[in-house]
Amino acid sequence: MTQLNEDDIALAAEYVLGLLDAASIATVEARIAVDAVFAKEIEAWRTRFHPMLAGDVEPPSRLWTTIETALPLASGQDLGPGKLTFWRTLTGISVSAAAILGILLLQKPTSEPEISRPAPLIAALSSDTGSASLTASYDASTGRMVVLPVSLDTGKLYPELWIIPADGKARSLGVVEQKTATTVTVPSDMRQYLTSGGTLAITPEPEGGAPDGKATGPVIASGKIATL
Amino acid sequence: MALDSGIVDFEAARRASLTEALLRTGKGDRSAFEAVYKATSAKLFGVCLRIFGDRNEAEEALQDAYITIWNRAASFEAGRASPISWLVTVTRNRAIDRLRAKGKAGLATLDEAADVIDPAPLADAKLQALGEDTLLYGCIEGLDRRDAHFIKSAFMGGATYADLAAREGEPLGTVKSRIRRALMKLRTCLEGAS
Repeated sequence: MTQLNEDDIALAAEYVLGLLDAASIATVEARIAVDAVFAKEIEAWRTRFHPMLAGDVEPPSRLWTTIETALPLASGQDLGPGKLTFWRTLTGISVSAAAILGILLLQKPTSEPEISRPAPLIAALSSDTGSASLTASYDASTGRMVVLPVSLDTGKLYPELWIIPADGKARSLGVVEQKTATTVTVPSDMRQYLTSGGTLAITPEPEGGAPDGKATGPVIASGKIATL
Repeated sequence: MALDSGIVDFEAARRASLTEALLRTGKGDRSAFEAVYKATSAKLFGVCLRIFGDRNEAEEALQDAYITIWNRAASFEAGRASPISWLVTVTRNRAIDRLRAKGKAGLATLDEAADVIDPAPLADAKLQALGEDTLLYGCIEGLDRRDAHFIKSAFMGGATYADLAAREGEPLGTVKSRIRRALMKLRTCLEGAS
């Protein structure tokens, strides 16, 4: 693709302005990954619109200390070198796969990850805007899922995890932590839904989780379950 | 480097060193991250202030943005975007996500929107922004007032097509074709002037 028409150019602007719905965002991101001319137009719109956000103001000096203190450990510092590569690869995949397909397809990491427990099912959850990302691994033999937020902020609300199997109905797997890993013991009646091809999603919900088991917040991150 | 190209080289060098610091941040280098912070925190705080208006909320948004930058620096590709464009994009998107999570996105009425997205520009900020700002604002002011508001509400207020259509009580398609026309007009104005 070397030539953009008016629709393409307008679409790039709509994406940069944040006007689009989730499905259109996914389509645009898929195209950015494969169409360099379109990707350049996206950058051009960013350059055009960024002056709206211009105007340097020094933040208070205490902010740096707050940020430094709040920094998570560099990816996987507490996981050992083998797992560092593993989580890094996974995070990398979540970004590029989201860009290519709009949804996440998990590939096998190139180097065999050194994981101490079997994790046959895995998912990388991310947002359409790329701002929220989590990884989830599920061990069918124990029924346990470990959900690790890489970047997640639901403000005063609580992130609730959902499984959406082939029937398209979201079923709650409970509320997870925003900043630290959560081990979810999946109820036995839910385990049938945790299969390759199902979708995991996160919505922000009030304390205690979605009332009546129905999500009230928008999906801020989602990803397909795949076999590792 | 020859002395007579000093000014150009300074800009290029600044960009190169920011690129390098960002790439090193992606490898978990905290001192590189601190360098990124020092070089960009005033600019990114400006971004948060434009979106939030309120200083406390802007400070929280800025912290959040830098933590996201730390977490995602590994995904920065030097060939695809300038480091500052990438940083502003991450900060803007993160701040807009926060607005949306607080339920404050896209809900402002036209007049409220004007207050939210045109915070009395802070004195030094205004001066500094003048050069790059004037062309864009000139072109935006050349649009229909409502279209200009739509564009600002989206970029700085997080309003989507669906939000705007609901707010205006108009069909999605109508709002969409209006904005698309305005965007093409804006592009012609910006390209024509440069």
